[in-house]
Parts: sequence; structure tokens; C-alpha cells
Amino acid sequence: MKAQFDEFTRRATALLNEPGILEKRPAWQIVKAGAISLAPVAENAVTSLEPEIALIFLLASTFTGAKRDSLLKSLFGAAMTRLPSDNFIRLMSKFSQAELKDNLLPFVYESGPRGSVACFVAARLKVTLATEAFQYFLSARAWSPTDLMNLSLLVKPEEASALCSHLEKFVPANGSKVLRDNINEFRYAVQNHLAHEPMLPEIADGETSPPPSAPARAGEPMRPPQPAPVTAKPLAPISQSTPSVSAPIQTNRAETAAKPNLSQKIPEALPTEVPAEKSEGPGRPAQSQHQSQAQAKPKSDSLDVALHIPESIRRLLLPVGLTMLFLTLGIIYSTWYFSDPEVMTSTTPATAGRAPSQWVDAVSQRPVTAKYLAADKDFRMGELFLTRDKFAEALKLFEDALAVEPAHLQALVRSGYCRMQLGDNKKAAKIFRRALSADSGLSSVNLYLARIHLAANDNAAAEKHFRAEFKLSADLTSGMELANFLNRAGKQNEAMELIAELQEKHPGKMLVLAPTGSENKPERGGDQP
Amino acid sequence: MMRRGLSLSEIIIALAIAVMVMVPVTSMFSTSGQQVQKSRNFSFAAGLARRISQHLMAMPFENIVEVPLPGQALHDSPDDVFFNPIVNFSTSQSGVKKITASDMPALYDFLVQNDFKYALSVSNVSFGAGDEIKSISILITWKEAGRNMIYRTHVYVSSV
Repeated sequence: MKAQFDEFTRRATALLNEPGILEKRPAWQIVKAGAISLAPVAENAVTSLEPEIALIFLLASTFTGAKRDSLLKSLFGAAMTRLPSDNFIRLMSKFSQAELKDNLLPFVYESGPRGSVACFVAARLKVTLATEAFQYFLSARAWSPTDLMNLSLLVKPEEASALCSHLEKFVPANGSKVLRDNINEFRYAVQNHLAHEPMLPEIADGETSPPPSAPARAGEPMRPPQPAPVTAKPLAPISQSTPSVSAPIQTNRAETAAKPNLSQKIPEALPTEVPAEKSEGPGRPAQSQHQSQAQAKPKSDSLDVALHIPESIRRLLLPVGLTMLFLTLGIIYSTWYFSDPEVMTSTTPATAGRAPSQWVDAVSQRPVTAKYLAADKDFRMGELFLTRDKFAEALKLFEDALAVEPAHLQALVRSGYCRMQLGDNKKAAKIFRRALSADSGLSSVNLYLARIHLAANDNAAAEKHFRAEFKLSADLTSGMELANFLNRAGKQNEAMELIAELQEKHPGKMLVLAPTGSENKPERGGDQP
Repeated sequence: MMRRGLSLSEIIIALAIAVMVMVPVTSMFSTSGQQVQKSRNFSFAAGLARRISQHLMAMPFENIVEVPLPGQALHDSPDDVFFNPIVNFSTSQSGVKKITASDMPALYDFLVQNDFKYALSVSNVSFGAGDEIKSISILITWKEAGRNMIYRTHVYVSSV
């Protein structure tokens, strides 16, 4: 029989050393044949073979039902007394969830190393339990903080809150304090998602096998089973480390952080297929993995504490941050905008040698063209002649200005005025109407038109323009002209009212209506305003 | 421990609030900055035009001549003791310093940056018997926010 076992061990080892998917490796069929030959002595094989070889035997065998369950229980019972190897856990993932639940989870009830290891392996294999099951597990034994963390990983995430509510009702009022603390700590762990990865259980010296290592690269052969080495640093047996279930969970977390070598990070997901393991020396020291975790675990814990920012403040961080960013940019921009021109070196003139065709008047904000400026030169000269009552010379210059820029309204009005002074009222009236059509707000134009109409004895039109001018400018000159016109037109009352109104506005002046008669009638349309 | 992140709607609302706050703030910065710059340029142009008009009153009548557009750049005006709108040696002790990049870099760069120029549009009218009047339009031009600006004022100088 021993020869059979040795032969099967040799075949299984060869299988493990081959790369690829387990069932498609060349040695698989040979192993299957060997498993069939060992079937009559299956119970002995499971207990005598190395755990990984025994697991391959069960995978390759054709047992079903109660027989298979019995063999699995027997194998798991033997294997869970110490921390199984990574290969063993990977091979376990080949079994269905139902098989794992039926044959692995019963060991979780056990106190001692086997319960802790079973809980860790179940968490590692992502076995999940029904909500109602946890109360039985929790009340079955005392739980170390590590085991509670691993147990919390067996909770389906979507059922976490329901489980917490369920356990809240389950907490026995008169039960033991240990049980209450177990449940409360477990609820806290589940509610706050404290556990992210399975944590290595605390087991006594001599009860460890090679600790699970990082998943090997695909294609590399799996490592054959090795004897369990003793860790360099002795670990406290679980029976001695009485779970401090009465202490607050924060204390337990702090203990975990303070004793990082007692826990170890495990790769998050197990590969679907069994990859071959990198062949390195037997028993890569667990110490190195413990050390690497010792560096990682306290860091994450301390970050958890240090970055515990309230949700309300964290929500404000983005808008406040953006506001600060924009403000900073605004300040930088404005600093640059108002910076001393001294710092702006190597500036060059924008234009050189050529005048632009248009400017914006800094006072009126209206466009000023080069043509307008040229016309304005003639207009200014015409104004000089006007000061000496040289209307003919002035008219020529105003018309020159209009020839350059017909839109020069001041030149247009002045040309009309010159024509009026020169007795050409008809043409003057035409020019004034043109000016009003261009800009109805031009001052004095209505007054000139009124005088022209008055000279032509067209009182209605004259009154209309007198009133329009007074409405537009509302000054003393236009008011007096309107009042005198009304007085001459027989509207003395209205004229007196207007005079009184003007007198009230100009108390420093003595305002008197001109006597009616032809002696006051302007001969040439009136004086220059 | 799982932490809830910011949802898309929260980020959008936060961005909207930030934009609503920052748009007026930035436009306020921009508008006020432009107003300050406009006011500074206008004041400089008006002051310069007044200085030129005063100088025209004081200088010999026959020496008042046309300075056609686009005008004379202030930062590069000729070193003329007789007429220089900034360096006025003949009538005032103020502004005796020539504007050079090395001696007055701040003012020099200000003039260069805004391309300040002056032009004189002179119209000479003779009424006979030595009675002459010059109508002078003083034109100050500069560049402001990409626009060509002009400030105009007029002065009449008599030969008598």
C-alpha cells in the first residue's frame, strides 16, 4: 500500500509541477488512473497522504455523495489543524461552495486552532453564509478579534445591514458578557466594513505550515507539498491568547496594528484556475511576509484614523477647493493685470507710421473717422470766420467740410445758419430739416426754423418749432423767444405764464416781454445763439 | 472601511455653485481692472492735451505747425527744446527729464505699451493787416483693449 501511495505521490507531484489548467495537464489522466486504483483504500489515502496530494486524490477520484463528503471532512479535519499552504487553498477552490459549506464550515464552530484556520480558509475561499447562520457561530465559542474579522468576511455585502439588525435582536439580555461582546464586536466589524482581506489566524508555534504566499505566475509549476516549517518568531497559541472580547473594538484594532506580525495580507482574489507556483526554496520564510505586512497594515490603520473626516466636511471640500482655486487664479490674474508696466519689457508700439482709419472718441465713445477729422479742420476755420461775421467765407469752408464728410452735422447746421444770415432762408430751411432728420436732438435748429417761418409769416409752423426748441433745450433764450412769439400772436396769458415760469427759474434776471410790433421783428432771422 | 465618494450630481452642483460665484468675481476683477486702465489713460490724455495747449499759447505763433496723423509717439518724441509735449524746457521746469527707457522705464513702458501719440491739426486764418488766428486741434491717440482711442481738444491762438 505504501508503494501505491508513493507512486501516487510521485504522479501528483509531477502534476503539480506541470503548468496550465489542472484538468488539462498531461499528468492529469495518469493521476486520475492512480486515484481509481487507490479508491479501495481511500480512507487510508486521505489520512496518510500529504494534504495537497490527498486533495488531488479527492479531486481526481470519482466519489460522490456521502462518501465524498466523509472523505472531505476527514481531510479538512486533518488539514485545518495547521495553516494550510497556498497550494492547498487553491486546490480547495476547485470544490463547489456547497461542498465547502458542508465539509469545511463545521470546523469553524470549534475553538482552538482548527476553528480559526477553518474560518480563515473559508474567508479566503469567499464562502458566504446565510444571515441566520451567524448567531450560531457566534454563540458557539469564544472569538478572537482576528477570527471575528475573518467571520465578517463570510457575510454577503448586500445582507450586512440586515444581519446587523438581526443580531441586534439576537443579543441576549441575560446571556454571557462574552457572547454579548462577541456579537457587538462582530456587528461593529460588519457595519463598518472593517475587514477587507482575510487575516492570518493566531496559532501556536508548531501548528503552522508554510504560510500562503502570493499567487504564482501562470504557467509556472506548482510547488510540491513541503513539511511545515516553524516560524522564526514564535506565535502565541490561540488558546493562550484569550480573546479580549470585552475590550472595545478600537483596542482590538490597535492591538492588530501594534502586532502586525500576527496578521498577514492575502491576495484579494483566488485565481479561477490553479496556476503553477513559482518554484522557490521550501518554506519561504513567513517572517518576510509578516514583515511586509507589518509595514503595510499599521499604515492603513493610521490613515483610517488620521483621515477620519466627517462626511459633511468632505462634501464641502470640492466646492471650497474649487472656489479657492478660482480665487487664486483671479488674484494671480489681477496681480498680473495691475502689475507695474516696468516689468513689461520688450513692448513695442502697436502701430508705426500709418494712421488708423477710425478711432473711438474717449469722451463720447462715438467713432471718429479720418475723413471726419479732415472735415473738422475746415469746420474749425469756418468757425473762425463766423466770429468775424464773415458768413460767405465761413459758408464756403463749411461746405468744403461737408464735401469731405457729409455726416459732419455741425458743419451742416453752420452752413444753414450762414445761408439764413445771407438771406437764403429757403435753402437754409431745407438744410435745417435735413439736419433734424439726421438728429432730431440738435439744439438751435428748431429755433432757426421758427425764425425762418416767422419771417415768412407762417405762425403755425413757427410756433411748432419754437415749442419744439423750448422743449428740447428748455433754456432762457428759447423760452423768451417762445414767450415773445406767443405775446405777438395774441396769446398773452400763455406768454405771461411762461415768463413767470422762466422768472421763477432765473430769479437773478428781470424778464420782460418785448413790445408787440414790427420794430422787434428780426430782419435776418435773429442773432447767432 | 468603505467610504462613500462624491456623486456626479454633487460634483455638478458644486461646479455650478463655483461657476456662479466665480463668474461675477472674475468679471468684477476684469471690469474694474479695465475701468482703472481706461481712467488712467483718459486722465493722462486729458492732462497731456492741456499741457500742449498751454505750451501752444506760450510758443511763438509762427512756430505752431501741423503734426499730422498718425502723430508723434510720445516715447519717441524728438529731443526738441522748442516743442516737446513732455520734455518742456522752454516754459516750465516740470518734466525737464527726457523720457528714456533707461531713465524713466515705468513711464516709457506705459507710453510704449499704450502707444500714446499726439497730433496737431493747425488751420491758419488771416483776416488781413497781421490779424491772424490759428485754430489748432490737439489730438491724443492711444491703444486701449485693442481699440484706437482719441481725445480731442481745440485751441485758438491769435498772432496779436
